[in-house]
Amino acid sequence: MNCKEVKQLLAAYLDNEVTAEERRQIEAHLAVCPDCKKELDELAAAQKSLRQAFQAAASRAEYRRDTWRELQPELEAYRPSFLSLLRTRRRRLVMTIIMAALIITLIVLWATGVCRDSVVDVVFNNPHDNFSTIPTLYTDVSCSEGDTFLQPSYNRLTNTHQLYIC
Amino acid sequence: MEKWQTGDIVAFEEFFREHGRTVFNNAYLITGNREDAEDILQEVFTSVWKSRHTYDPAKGKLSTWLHRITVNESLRKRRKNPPMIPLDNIQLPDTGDGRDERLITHFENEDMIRAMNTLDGRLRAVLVLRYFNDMSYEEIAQAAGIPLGTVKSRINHGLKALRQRFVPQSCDN
Repeated sequence: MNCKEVKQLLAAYLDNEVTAEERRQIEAHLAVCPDCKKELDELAAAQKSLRQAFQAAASRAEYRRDTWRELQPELEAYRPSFLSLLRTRRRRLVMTIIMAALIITLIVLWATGVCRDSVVDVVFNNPHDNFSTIPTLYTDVSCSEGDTFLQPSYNRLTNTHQLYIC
Repeated sequence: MEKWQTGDIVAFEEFFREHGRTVFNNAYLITGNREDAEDILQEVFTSVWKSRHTYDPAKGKLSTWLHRITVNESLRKRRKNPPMIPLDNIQLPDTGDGRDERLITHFENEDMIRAMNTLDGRLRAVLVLRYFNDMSYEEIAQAAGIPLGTVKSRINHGLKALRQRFVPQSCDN
């Protein structure tokens, strides 16, 4: 190692954060380089001074006694948003599984006809027809004459009545 | 999962009492400003409370997580309120010749802290984590969210920046 390489590692050397091989090379260089040895000693002194200064400053500084009292109401008022519930990977995974299960369930229900049979689209020749008379068309969806319907709605564009079987 | 993570405010108060001092000290040493450190203390614990579900003990130590939030808040605050002490106004002891010994004996703590205040916040943060919290370089890398090599270079650079105010150095080997 040359001086430049050694100097880049001196702090790590003092902190025991170099590899065994780096340590060997640094010590071999320090044995023959008084300038780098001097810098090592200065860095060691700076480390010691810094530790002392930090301890002294920290021992004098004190936060206000009422900090928690100021903080507590704000924390208690906080309510996590729905999105915050999705922040962790595990929660996102659980929510994804739930949503996937829900979608699959709906698809299965639709495919088996459970949902479809409850809604009937009927084309009328006359959009002003009322629902007291049920067209024969209903017979293939388990409806018969005289059945009543909920929430009938008329679509003017398609001339279609959507009837919900009661 | 810790009790405070379930939203128990009483448990969180205990958590605050246990770790508040450490957070405040780190914030104070990184920013060099007591009022800023007070603000950071509140911001850190507000942030911890809001993101309490995200801490996973399996992924790292609680102290490292807290240090990371503290460092981030401190650097953000420091960017917003840079130190008021210009470098030229700092009066550091004149050590003259034989500076090595005097660097230890005459380097007043307050002068060192003031000198620290002139360093870039990122350098200060790693120096505080290393020489106040005695964290390993690996732990500092996790807490500061930087590569291990960057930790090494920042600590080396930070120490030299402090030292060079007293001992100009050259080496031509």
